[in-house]
Order: sequence, then C-alpha cells, then structure tokens
Amino acid sequence: MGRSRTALLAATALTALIVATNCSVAEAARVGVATAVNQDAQARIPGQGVKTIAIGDDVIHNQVIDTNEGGLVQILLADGTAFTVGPNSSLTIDSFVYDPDAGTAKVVASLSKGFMRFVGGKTSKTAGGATINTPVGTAGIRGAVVDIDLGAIGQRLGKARSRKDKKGGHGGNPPHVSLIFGKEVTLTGNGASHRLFQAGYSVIVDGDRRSVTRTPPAFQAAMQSQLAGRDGAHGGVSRQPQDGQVRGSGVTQHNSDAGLPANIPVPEARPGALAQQTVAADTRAAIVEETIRKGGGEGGGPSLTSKVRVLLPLPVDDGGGNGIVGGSPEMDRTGTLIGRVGQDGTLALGGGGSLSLPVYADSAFKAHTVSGYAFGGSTYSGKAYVGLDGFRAYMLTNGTNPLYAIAGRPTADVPGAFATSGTRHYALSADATNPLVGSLGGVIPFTYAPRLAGVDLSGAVSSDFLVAGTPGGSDPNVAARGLQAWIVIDGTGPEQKSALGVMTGAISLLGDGKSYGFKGDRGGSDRLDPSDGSTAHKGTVVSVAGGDGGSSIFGPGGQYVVLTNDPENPYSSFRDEANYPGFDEVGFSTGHVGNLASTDTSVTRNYGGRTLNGFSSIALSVDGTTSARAGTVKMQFDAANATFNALFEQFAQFSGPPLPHNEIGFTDSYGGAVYLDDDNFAASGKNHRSYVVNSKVAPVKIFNGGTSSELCSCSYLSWGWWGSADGGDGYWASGHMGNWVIGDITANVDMPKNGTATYDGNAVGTVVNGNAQYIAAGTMNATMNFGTRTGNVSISNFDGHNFGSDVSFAGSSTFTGTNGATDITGSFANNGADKAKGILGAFSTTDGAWSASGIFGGNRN
Amino acid sequence: MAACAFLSLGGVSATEAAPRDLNRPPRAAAGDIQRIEARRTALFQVMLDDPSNLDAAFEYAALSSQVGDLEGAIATLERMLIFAPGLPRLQLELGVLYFRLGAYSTAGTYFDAAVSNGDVPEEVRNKVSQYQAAIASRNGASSYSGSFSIGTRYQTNANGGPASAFVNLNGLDYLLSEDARKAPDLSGFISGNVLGVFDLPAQGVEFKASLRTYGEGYAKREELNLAYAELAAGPSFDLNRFGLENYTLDVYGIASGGILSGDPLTSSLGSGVFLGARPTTDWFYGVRGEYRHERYHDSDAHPQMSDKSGDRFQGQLVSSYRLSDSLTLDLAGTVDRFEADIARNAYWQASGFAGLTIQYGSPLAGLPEPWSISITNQISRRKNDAADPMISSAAQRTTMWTLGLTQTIPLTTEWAALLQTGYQKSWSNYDTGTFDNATLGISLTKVF
Repeated sequence: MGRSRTALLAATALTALIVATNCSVAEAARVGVATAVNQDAQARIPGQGVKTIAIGDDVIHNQVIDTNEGGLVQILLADGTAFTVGPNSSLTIDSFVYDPDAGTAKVVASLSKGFMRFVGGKTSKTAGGATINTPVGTAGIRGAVVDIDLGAIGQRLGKARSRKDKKGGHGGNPPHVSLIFGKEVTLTGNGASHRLFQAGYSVIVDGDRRSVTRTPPAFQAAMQSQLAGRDGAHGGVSRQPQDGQVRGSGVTQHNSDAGLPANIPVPEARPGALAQQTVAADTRAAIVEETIRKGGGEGGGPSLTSKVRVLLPLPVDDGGGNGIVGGSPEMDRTGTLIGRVGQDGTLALGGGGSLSLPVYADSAFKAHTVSGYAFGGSTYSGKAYVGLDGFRAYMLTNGTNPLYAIAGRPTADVPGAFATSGTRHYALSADATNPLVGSLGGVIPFTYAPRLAGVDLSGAVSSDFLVAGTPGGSDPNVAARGLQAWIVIDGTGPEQKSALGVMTGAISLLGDGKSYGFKGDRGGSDRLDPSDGSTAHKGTVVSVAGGDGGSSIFGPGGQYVVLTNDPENPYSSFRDEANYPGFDEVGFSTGHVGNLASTDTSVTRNYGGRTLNGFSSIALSVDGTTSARAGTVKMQFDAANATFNALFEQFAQFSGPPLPHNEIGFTDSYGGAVYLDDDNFAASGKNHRSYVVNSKVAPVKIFNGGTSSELCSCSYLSWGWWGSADGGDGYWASGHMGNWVIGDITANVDMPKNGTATYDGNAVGTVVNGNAQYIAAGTMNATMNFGTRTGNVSISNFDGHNFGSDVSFAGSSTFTGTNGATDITGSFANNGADKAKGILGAFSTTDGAWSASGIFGGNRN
Repeated sequence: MAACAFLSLGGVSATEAAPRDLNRPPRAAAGDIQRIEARRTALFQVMLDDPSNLDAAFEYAALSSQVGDLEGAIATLERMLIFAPGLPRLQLELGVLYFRLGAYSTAGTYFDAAVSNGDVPEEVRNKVSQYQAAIASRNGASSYSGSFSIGTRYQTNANGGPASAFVNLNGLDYLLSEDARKAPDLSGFISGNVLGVFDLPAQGVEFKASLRTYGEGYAKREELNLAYAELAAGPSFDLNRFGLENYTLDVYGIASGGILSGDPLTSSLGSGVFLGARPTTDWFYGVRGEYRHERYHDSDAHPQMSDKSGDRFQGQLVSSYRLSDSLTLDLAGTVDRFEADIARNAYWQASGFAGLTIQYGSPLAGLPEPWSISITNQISRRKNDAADPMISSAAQRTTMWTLGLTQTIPLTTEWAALLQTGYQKSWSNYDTGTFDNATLGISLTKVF
C-alpha cells in the first residue's frame, strides 16, 4: 500500500483513518463498518472462514455478508454511503475507493440474493461511482436512494415462503430495482439496459423480460417492513433510542417541527400580466374609445372643441353676391365650436354672434345632410363634410347666400404628402347654392349655374380635381400642380350650345413661408346663345384654410381641400366675360370640398422631356370678324415641373383677316399649363395665353353619332381643345373650343418606301356659318401610296358636308393638298417603333357662306 | 506514513460540505454552515468508531437535516429505527425527510407505519395526519393542486379612463363625457386556479391540465363586470429520457373565454410549447412559445368589439431564483405579436417583469407560518401597426408600468390573507391611452 500514491488512492479513507491512528496493515483492507446488526448475520471473509458480525465490526473487501431470515445489517462506508441489507440476503463489497480531498468515491458491490437499500454518499455523486452487481443485472446508480429486491432469486423455497408468511404477505414480489429518490439508476443485463430517471419508478424483472413501471405500493411496503427491524431486535445496541431522546435530539427542530413546507404563495405559472388582465385592460381601452367613437348615448357623447373659420357671403354692395364669400373681416371670421358629438354645438364667432352646428366625430370622408341652422336671422341648410384629423366643412346656403364653416388640422408635411407617385383624384362636391351636376354624375365646378340653365347637361363630362406632386421640380416652393376641366356640347348645328371650363394651378408655399395652399385660375369659354359670341371664363380659385390658419390642405395625407374664391381678397370672384361687344360680365363664386378618392398610379409621363408636333384649328374672332382657321401646334412637356408649353400657329397661306404674325395662341406655366400625365394636361390660359385641355381630361362623346370620344383608334395621338381671349396685340382676338392633335411625327427617312395603306378616323372642328358658329364632327378616310408618295384624304358627314383632297408628300412626311376650297395638311405619325401608323392633320374648307376648319386623325388599317 | 497522515487530514476536511452534495437547500444560516459541516465530519467519525453512540448519531442526523444532506440524515435515522423498531417518532422524522426529498410514496409508508400501533404520541399522530393529507394530493397516478381566492379591491380608475377630461383627437380637444372619464370603483372578485397532473404509462410523461377562472363585479361600473376562464392541457415530457437532466417539455392546447357584463366578450383557441429547466434546486427557467386565435365578440353594448380580434403569437422567457431560504427573485420577458384583423389594433409588445418575494418569520405568535411580501414590477411597450384615424394620424405607442406589492399572511398551511396594493401608469401618444390607476385590495386564498 505504501509503494505508490496510486495504491494509496485505491485504499479507503476509512483505512487511512485507521492508519493514522494505528497504521496496521492487517486493517488496511477495511472498507466500512457494520453500524447496525440484527442477528443472524455472518461474514465470510476470504481465507478466514465464517464469522458472526457484530455492531462496530469492520467490513473489508470481498467479505460476503450473509443474513438469515432474522438478520439485518447496515453498513456505513467512509463517504457516507449506507447499505441496509435485509433478511436472507447476501452482499459483498467488492471494492471501495474514496478520495476525501477530491470528494469522490467509488464502490462496487454485489447482491446475490435478498434485499437492500442503497443510500448514496459521495459514491453516488461521482460519475460511475456506485455499481451493484446482481443476478438480474448490474445497477449503475447516480445520486440516488435505491431499493433492490431480488425476490426468490437465491432463496430456498422454504425460506422464501417463511419470509412471506412472517411479513404478512408483503414478500413474494418479483425481482426489481426501484428509484426512491435521485437522478438515475440503470440496470444492465440480459442484453438490455433499462434506465430509471424518475423517482417512484421501478425496473421489474420477470424471467427474461424487464419492464419499467411506476413502483407499486406493495414494493414500498415490503421493503419498508424488511428494513425497519423487527420486534425484539435492537441492531446490536444495548441502549435503544427512546421517544424522548428523539424529541430532544434536535432532529425534529429542522425537520418535523418546521412543519409542512408552506404552499403559499403559489407561484404564478406566467409571471407578469395574466390573460384576463390583458383582456380586462384591452377591453377597458376599447370601451373608452368606443364611447368616444359612437358619441351620443346616455348623457351625450364627448364634447368637441374646435376652431372653425366661417365664411359669409360678401354683400352685393361690396362687390359680392352670387355666392362670393369673404372679402372682409366681417365676412371672414373664426370661432370655437363646442358641443357633444351627435348633438348640436354652439359656434361663438369672433366679433359677436353665434351659430348652432351639428357636432361630429372623425370618420372616413362622409357627407351629412344638415338643415335648419339659424344665423343672423336666416336659416341655412346644406351638407356637412366630415373627415379625419378634425376636418369639417359645413357648406351651407340660405337661398343664394352661402355660409361655409371650415375646421381641421392642416396636413403637417404637404410636400411629403404629395411626393408619392401617381395622379391624385379629388372628388369635388357640388356647390351648395348653385349645384351643377351632369347627368353622368360629375360635378361641374367653378361655374355659374344660372348661365347654363338652358343647357342640356346630359352629355356633359367633368373631371375630378386632379393633382400630382412635383418633388423633382425646379421651383422648391411648388409642391404639386392640379387641374380640373369640364365640357358640354348641347346639340348640333346653329342652335348648338357649348361650354368648356378649365381650372389649373399649383399647391405652393404661401407668403408666411411655412404654409401651403392651392391657387389656380379659371379658364375656358362658352357659347350659350347662338346669337351672341363667346364668353371667356376667368377668376381665381384658392383653397381655404381652417380656423387655426396655416396650410389649407387637410388630413394626415393631404386628403381634403376646400376650393372657392379667395376670401382674403375683396375683389376676388369668378367672372364670365363676353368676348363680343358690350362685354357683359357676371361675377360669382362657388364652393367645393375635394376629397381624395383615389390615386392613379398607372399613369404614364412618356411625354416628359419631349416635343410633340401636330395641327390645330379654331374659329378665330378678330375684332368681331370670325373665320375658321387651320394651323399647327407644338407642345413641349416638362414632367419634373408638371407643366408644358404649347404654340399655335396658323398656316402662312391661310386666307382670312390679316394678322401681323402666324402665332395665334400659346400657353406655358405662366398660363397655368399643367402636365400631370400623358392623359391629363391642361392650361387655364391666364395672362393673355390660351387655354388648352386634353380630350382625355373630359372625354366628351362627339364622334360616331355621339357614342365615342376617340378621334381614332390611335392612343399614340393626343387631341383636345383650345381657345383664347386676348387683346394684347392691339386687336381683340378670341377663339372658342378650337381643336388640336399631336403625335410623334414620322421622320421622312422612316417613311415606308412602297405599298399603300388606308387610314380611318374622325375629324372635329368648328363651322362658321354667317353669325352662327358651332362644333361639328365627321369621319375621315385616307388612302396613301408610299411608292408614289401620293394619297387622298376625305372627310364625310361633317355638318352634312363631304369634302376632301388628293395629297402628296413628295419630299417629307407631311402631306398637303388642295381641292378647290378645301385645304388639307397633315403628317404621318409613329406608334412607337411602328412607323407611319397613323395620320393627323388639319383642314379648312369653304362652301359659300359655310366654312369650317378642324383637325383629323386616323389609324392605319 | 506521510501519505496516511495526508489522507487522515483529508478525512476531516470541511470541503466535504460542498453545497453540490446537498439534496435540499440548507435550513441554516450561511455563516453557520461551515461550522456545522466541521461538526458533522467529526460526528461521522464518532459514528464509524462507535455506531452505538446514539447521541452522536442523533446530532449527526439533526445537523444533516439542517444543512440539507437529507440522505445522510435518512441513513442515520434508518439505523436508529433498526435499533428501535417501530418507534413512531423516528418513523415520523424519516417520513418527513423522504417527504422533503419528494419521495412521497416512501414517506407515506413511514407515516402509515408511525400510526399503525396504538402507542403513538398525540403530537406525532397530528403531524403524521398533516403529511398524510399532503401526500394524498401529490402521490399516485394523479394529483391536484391549486388555489381559490375571494376578495375585494378599490381602484382609483376602475375603467382605465384617460387621465384628463379632455382628450386630443386629431388635433381637436374633446371634453369627455362622464362615462368615458376615469372613475373610481369598488369591486369584488373571485378566482380559482387548478392544476391536475396525471401520470401516463411511460416513465417521465405526464398529462397536465390547468384551469384558471376569474370573475370580478363592480359596485358602480357594472359594464366592466368580467368573467374569464382559461383551460390549458397537454402532455409534459421529462427530457431526462434524452439525457437532458432536469429539462421538461410541455406541449399544450389552450382555450379561453370571457364574458363582459353578461355578453360574450372574447374566446380564444391556441396551442403552445414550454421548455423548462431546473439546473439547480434554486434556479428554474423556461422558454415558452404560444399561439392563440383571439376573437372578440360584438354586442349591443359594444358593437365594434370584434375590431380587436386577431392572432396572438407570444414568446416568453421566465426564470425564478431562490437567492436564499427567504428570498426569491422572479424574472420574465415577453414579446407579443398581435395580428389584429384591423390594422390599428395590431401591435408588437415587449414587456419585462421582475418580482422579489421575501419570506420572514411571523410577527404574530398565533400565526406561526412564515409571512412573505412580494414586490412586482412590470414595464411594457406596445407599438401599434397603424393609426386609429379617429384619434390620430400616427400609430399608437404606449408604455405601461405596473408596480405591485402583496403581503401574504398565512393563516394556516392552506389559508392565507393577501393584502395587495398596486399602481399602474400608462404613457401614450394617444390621450385615450394615457392614464393611471391605484389599487388597494384584500383577499382570502385557500391553497390545496
């Protein structure tokens, strides 16, 4: 043993202790002590025969401990491991190694028959530390209290029966290994391994079969009765423990006297908010919001306090009337509306007076019909428009006198709101005082309804208020540009009444340097009385701010706008001015609420950065003499700034009243020219410029018997309307609803070199017949021979006239031809890579007192 | 010879008292443990040298019990029982030791044996009967545990009304009607939690079912009366079968329903999985993933409640530390993703929870069970997906802080009185979500 350190470690700690006190080699093999012995128990020591064990006896390696049916032994090893060996059992401690410094121990024992309870000390806390060999397999124990019962194995039949009888039937259980407490026991044998890892389970051996099952109560009871001693036996001590000794020993103090481990509080399975608490909290929040949302109810809904701007009608004596609002502090006031949602509130106006108005909670855009609200001795009715961010627009009227009350939080970031792509469609409400709605449903805005009283509006077409942002524009003050247009052509021939309204402008930074608003101009013209000339549309349209001032664009995303005359300008009104002698004029105003209904992101801006050429026509009145003229047009488009330029020139050879130059009209951004996309562009024509409206903005059906608005099956062409009212050149010239057509003109080098083609389409223009002037449409058919570079263009059913001319295009892609009183000029146009896919042109023709000019377009068949 | 001496010194080394060897946390002050372990080592040697020295054996057993080496105490007392077969008090103490280990079946056999003959001290009989009752609910193929509470509480803002009578809706100030403003109220509540655990045939597989019920009725704000029940059930697997010692995996289905003032309010159905670990006897942690489809139901009183319906995905980390015999720290973190049918009601929410429970000796001789006081602190942050257009153009952002204080006064081992006070404050960019609420309550709880 003393030969090496390894040998020392292979010895037992107990041995070492003994050595320290009495270092006897003879005792060096001792591994444990018999700490309790009920006789009979015997020890068979190799080479020393059989000896009866007594309490305090050493237990050494390979010593076989046998007990008879009354025997019971507890062996305590130096590490604290205890074996309690039951009756009729046989246990051998094969080896035991303990290193107290490391706190590790290892024991191998063999139980060949009988019962035992293993209570682990250091051995069972050491990996692979406790191994017990049995006839049914090897049990590897880790951190556990384990019972092993080998049942009848190794028992003589009489012994087994005797034990069973003695213990009142608790014996006779099959061999098993039970995990009482601890980490694991693995029983390996008979080619299989069974692992117990949960206390209260046993491996039961039935012949060759082994099963893991919950430990039956009988196993516990039997084991307990075997190991708890027996009456009359005292484990070898002369003095038995007594009740009082136990009670006074201190064992009870930290054990049974400590009482049951308290179950209170029961730990929460889910720390934090429980599901019912979340439900309760969310429900309470929902109820609060619901109460606000629904308004009304018992006790009334929540009270609204909002700052409201009220626009009142400007008196006639001050230049007002006909719906003109504001213009003076008395007519432009603010106040605070206080009242419960769902009920009428009181709007106390600055400067005195109050007004009762219904109070609404925020909602998606909705129009409420209201009536019977008194102010200043009059009763007002109309619509209350409700939106988000407190947007409210009460558009009321008393007979011919409007009253607008406007509130709402201005859009915080107007340029940002309009920076998104696409063309925004704002649906406009009808004017409260003079609602004007076409049969097709479109509201006709910015128009004095009494002047259209005799006009059949069933064919009228009116656009939404269309807006597109200009985030890439060169003018940082401009956030967006917008346009609106409408057209009505009532009847044919000399009695025809026609009108075109266009309004264009921009949403730009206002004078305060921080607020944004829309400002635009009316344009267009009408010819409502065949006996008179045309009338030009003028005036300024603005968006109106609410009671808190600031930007006059409302809603979180710029969804709402209220458009009317400029209430801060005492001379602001819309005006219709006659272009004929007398210069009759009417001033008026209308008010409209715009609600963002949709954004068309499918639009294209392919015209941006390009110049498109084409042809134009117009019946131009110069100092009272009207003649039908034809000419050219050139348009240049600027997508970044959402604008375009247009130049209209008459043909040099045109016969008619002489003009100092060929230019008869133009427009640009100063004329309110707005290019939103390839379909939607228009100009209102202020500052001596012309108005222009692309036909797609207000697609009035004038072709094919009033069933189509398409000039031809040629989406690659654009056509539309234009007019002017200009006295800037020393003479008064005006034109009403002339036409133009533009396209991608085919370069001569791209013209087909041979073959023929036919083109079909329509023509539209203006007839001048004595004092009468009206719009007419017909069909156009053309045949072109690319080999001879000649062709023919014929126009049919144009106000009952058919006319045409042979044409030639010898040196260019422009064809011209004259047939008596008919002049035709046109060009071929491309549809992308498809060259000469279409034709476009202008004509003028005369038949006695009847004359006409117009434009045509056709698509190659 | 020197080596023998070395080993001898090692045999009395106090390092044997390493806590990793203990079965249960010590019932001794930390400063006493080293001294006790030294004493235990000496006593152990005495027992080996003289196993019939009963005084040494009892002292060793007592100290082993005190420091948590229950196996050492068991081995010693089982030897004493061989010396004095059938001594009821020894059987009681052994039963309690096995009970403390969780070996309820073995404990039960000792308790049964302790009262099996007529000569049993009354004190022993009483204690045994308590433990037998406790074992009855824990042992066997099925067990039930839970609690039932009844109480009342006063809240300064029972309806969670906004802090101000004015709320700003889209830039405009609304004066709230009385029924939408914060209002105090007194309520009575009952709650019950039951957990049933059923052994399945395979080792380490259980079926757990838990039922939580809650009902609260208000003195004035009857529209807030709420009843709620939640049932979760599913198998629980001890992952030790795969060598993952002290890990469990619970898979469960969950269903719940709520009634608000007599009308159906909510119902939900879902499932979850919970992985729990207990690395030491003092530390438990787990991670949970759960999904629920939550439906809110419209009623005449609340016709828009269904706007709050949606799917909840929840992840949670929970942890519980027993810092000492009298101090427990609970920590949790939860992330919720609620996919509401209406975008403005959809949200992400993260919350953190910390709770500290301090157990201390009862100041009242008549109530000997230890008292405890718990401080809980939770903070959560919720970010809704989209704006509620009625209120704002911006989506709602809410931070909520909840502080709770609970004094538990055990009246018996099964009954306790709970005094609870709490304060909750919510900050939000929506005035409707800005409020606070203070709570004071008292309840009686029975644990079984």
